[in-house]
Amino acid sequence: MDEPKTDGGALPIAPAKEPANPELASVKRLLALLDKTAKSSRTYGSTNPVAQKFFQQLFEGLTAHLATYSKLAFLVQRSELYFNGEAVYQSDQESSNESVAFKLYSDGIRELTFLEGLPAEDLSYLLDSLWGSLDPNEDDDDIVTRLWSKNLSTITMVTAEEIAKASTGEDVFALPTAETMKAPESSLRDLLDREQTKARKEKSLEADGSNPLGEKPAGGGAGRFKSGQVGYEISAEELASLVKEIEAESKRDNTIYLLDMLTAILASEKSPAILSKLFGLWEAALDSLSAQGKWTALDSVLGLLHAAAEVRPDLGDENKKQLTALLDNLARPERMKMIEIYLNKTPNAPTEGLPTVLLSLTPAAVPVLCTLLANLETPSHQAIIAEVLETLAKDQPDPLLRGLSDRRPRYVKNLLTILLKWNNPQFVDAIEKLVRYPDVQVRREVVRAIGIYRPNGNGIKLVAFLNDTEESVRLAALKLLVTGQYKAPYAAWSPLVSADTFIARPHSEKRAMFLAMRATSGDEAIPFFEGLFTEWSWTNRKKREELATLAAEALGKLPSSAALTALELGQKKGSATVRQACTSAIALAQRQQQLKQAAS
Amino acid sequence: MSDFKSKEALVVYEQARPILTHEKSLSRKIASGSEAGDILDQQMAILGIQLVTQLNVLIKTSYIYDRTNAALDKPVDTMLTLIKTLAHDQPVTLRLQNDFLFLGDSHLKVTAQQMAVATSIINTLNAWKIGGVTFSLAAGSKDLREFAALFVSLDPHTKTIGDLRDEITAREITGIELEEPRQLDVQERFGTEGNTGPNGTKDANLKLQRKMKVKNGYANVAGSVGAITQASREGGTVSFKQAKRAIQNIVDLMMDDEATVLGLTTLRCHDEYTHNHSVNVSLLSIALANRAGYPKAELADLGLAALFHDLGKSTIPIEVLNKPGEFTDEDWVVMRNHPTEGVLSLSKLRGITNLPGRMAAASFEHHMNLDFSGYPKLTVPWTVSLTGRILTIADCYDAMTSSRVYRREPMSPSKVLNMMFSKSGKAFDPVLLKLFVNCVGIIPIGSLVMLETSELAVVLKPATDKTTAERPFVRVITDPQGNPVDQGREIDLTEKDESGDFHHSIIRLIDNTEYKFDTSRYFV
Repeated sequence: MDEPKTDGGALPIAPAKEPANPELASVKRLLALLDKTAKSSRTYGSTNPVAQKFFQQLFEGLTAHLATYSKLAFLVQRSELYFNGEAVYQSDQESSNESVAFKLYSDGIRELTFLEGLPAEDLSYLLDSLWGSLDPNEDDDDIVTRLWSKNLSTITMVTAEEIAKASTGEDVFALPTAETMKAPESSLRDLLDREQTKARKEKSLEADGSNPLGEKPAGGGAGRFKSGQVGYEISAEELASLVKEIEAESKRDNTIYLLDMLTAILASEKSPAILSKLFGLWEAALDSLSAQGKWTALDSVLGLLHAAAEVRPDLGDENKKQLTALLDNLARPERMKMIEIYLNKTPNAPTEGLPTVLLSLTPAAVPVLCTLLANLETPSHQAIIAEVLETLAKDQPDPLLRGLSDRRPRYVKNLLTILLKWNNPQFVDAIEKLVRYPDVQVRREVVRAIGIYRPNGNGIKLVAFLNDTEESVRLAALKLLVTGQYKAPYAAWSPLVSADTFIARPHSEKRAMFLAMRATSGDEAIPFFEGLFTEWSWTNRKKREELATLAAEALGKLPSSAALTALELGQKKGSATVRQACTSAIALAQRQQQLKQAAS
Repeated sequence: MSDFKSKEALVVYEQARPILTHEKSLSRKIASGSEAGDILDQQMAILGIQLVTQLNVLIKTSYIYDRTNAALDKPVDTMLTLIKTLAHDQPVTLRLQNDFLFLGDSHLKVTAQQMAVATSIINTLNAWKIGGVTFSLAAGSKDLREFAALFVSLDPHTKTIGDLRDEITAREITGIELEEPRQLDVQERFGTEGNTGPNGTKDANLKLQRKMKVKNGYANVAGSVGAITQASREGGTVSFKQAKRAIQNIVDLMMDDEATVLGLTTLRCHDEYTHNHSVNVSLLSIALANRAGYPKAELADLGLAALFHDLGKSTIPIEVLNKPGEFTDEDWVVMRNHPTEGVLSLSKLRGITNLPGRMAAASFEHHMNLDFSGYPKLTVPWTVSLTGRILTIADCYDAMTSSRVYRREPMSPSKVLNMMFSKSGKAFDPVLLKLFVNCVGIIPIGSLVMLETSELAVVLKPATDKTTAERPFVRVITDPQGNPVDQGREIDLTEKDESGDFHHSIIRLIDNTEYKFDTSRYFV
């Protein structure tokens, strides 16, 4: 067999020359294979064909080795494995998690031995325990326990703790010196005499039938002891039923079971001192459940605590106080932080029960819920909190309004969504302050909010959005302004339409702006439009003609006598293009007039 | 201070920092030092690593600065706080054995990230051939500074651990002691089983070794339950990991030789200071559960649960527990609260979401009885779990055969079984009770019997065949005149002669408790 190569990481120690000891050579080859198997398994997963090929090679090599030498024992050090006193495996980095030696060392395994007859599944289980699926949240999960619980007959280990205990040399086992059972062995002679006397007496009583108490002698008098009992037969059904119970017990949700137990104690316990401890424990339970995202359990506990006063009207004053404090402090910031950490850490974890839990809080929890909403990272989680706030904060909106000044756009947007759902115009002033909020989505939401809360009236705030850097925001504001529901003096428009940059805006936007200006300022804007018809310029002639054309269209669409006068002026004094546009606009205005008259 | 020095010190300090900042709650506990009652395994491990880290920081910083320099203030203060937390009930030892670090007797799990620091300390201890450093509350700031300075001023190549100790004495360093290394040949203690002697002594040696293992296993379990009960009572640190390992060992031993393990349950509880009762209940529960079909890992869970079934008693004043004479009504009320107190204590110690259901059930239900005739009395419907039913049997059997538990005079094992059978289907699960009797025998392990030869014998293990249940394995302990015999012969009472008659028979069961004769001496 060729010497296998490894590509870095943990390495079996390469001999300077082929060792004379064939067993040692075999061990080193196996460790090289183990390293390859581990590496491929970590990289591609243990079910990958490459990983499986290496595993198969390792298994076959190990089986052959064990068939020859019957066992293979390694002594574990920080970064090395020793075989028969010689280092046969060493990792480049002492503490690499990829090193077999370090993995074993870290879990406190001092010696690992493979024995002949090792099945493939046991080897696979060992490797999985080393590299795979240990649950870091599970206190009881470690390599030692895993290997032990599997009862592997061909893989044995000795832990460092076992060695430490065995090496103390202390005699920890001593007979108790009990006063009540102190009779020495020398008393056995007397004991035997007395028992023999008793036996004779019992026999004679039995013979003349004069046992006054009808007592049976202790086991048949002086004859052979006979109780008439045999060992007990346990039927297959009885055993099967037990096995079912064991399985059910193992699968049981321990937390729910424990909560049931605490509930039973809460319902039944009389001692105020124990109840006091119990309430302390409920507090801890709420924390644990919050920190671990067990929302349905948390919901049941809250339901129980809310009902506790009714179920136990006999609670003492102190216990009642504890219960009240428990319920009052449900939303304490530390607990909310636990919820936040859990949700951010596990974005895909189920949230069933969470809304109910949060809805059971009082409006006093609104500020901490706002903090939670601000700090959550996943939109689905934010949506849950937003829904809860929509209900709880309706009468206490101040924390939400204060939150509008927060620099986190996602949070502000969520707050705006809640405020919009409430549809309360009194919030519009606070919302309008966000005109210059850095985030475009927030600004768009603000425009939407203004449209909802101020469907008509003063449009100056909307006009302010027309200088927004984001086109979509400007268009959203224009969409509202062109409806004709808003009023804004020409003075508000003038800086926009007179600016040099106005001409550079997209055609559609300019068109919409003229329509909006005409709709909100009425005839006040006509002098500006007239100016466009008659103005002459050597530069930007085409652009200016474009503006005049758009102005004509705006006046034609919203005609008035002043507008018609302005158009007639344009018809006379404008350039050819302008004249044509003014003529079309007048025709349009007249058609509208006729239609109106016909309709009336 | 040079830039180089300050940078190096910063690096050393930064290496140390993250471990605690990840555990804010623990930091608070450490800060309050004396409130360390609820520090658990995981937290102990963190504290242990922190002790290693701070010791390393202290020694490394001492290479750069003089012992009185303010740069040492922070590591010294942190070390002192850690010592205050860890050693508040007894001195704490950081131990090194075969490259593995221990805090007391608990192995310190070191992660890859922590290994650089751990290696530094391991190398230092190895260089000096130091097996352990023990810190007690007597250690102060000056002691730690002087101690760290020794590693700078003395050279391990020219000095020995003895010289180091002499310097500790000379400099009047208090609260810090050094231990010699403990070494052990693994093969010697664990690898070989039984030496073949010329006269077929292999079996005897094997038996002796197995017995020794069982005894050690029992002692380890008793030690761990004792430590936890004591810690729970006094607010010390609690480690379930040792108990878990000890129980895993017992499960292995039980599967290998049930009778030898159960033999040790004859070591009755005579005093609430000892924890034999808890260990016995655990052993008996494991044996019964094994026969009921529990898988191996579940057996260990159950065994661990059983071990702490009486933890609620740690809330009862020891004067009440060991009160001479009868309990008052108030005493009984307190006693009857212990199953509920146990659930609350365990929930607090391990956390609601981390407490195994079996552990809670073992405490809560072990006096409840199948028909709810026991306590605690519940006002809501409840189902006694399988764990609870097993515990009820094991607890009752050991308690009734013991002299102090529940203020009763002890009863002989066979009498107890008779009494229990009278309550089969009421207090006790009938199927489990049958299994239990098969387990300990109709004439239970530890029973004293008289043979037809007038010799006295002790039952070692039940008969293997249920049809000959009255014929267990026994050990002869006296001759026909009642003189004790040393290493008496072991007899299988089912053995027959050529004519088909039994070689030996029991003619009488003896109530050993009547003579205050403890049979456990033949098992220990």
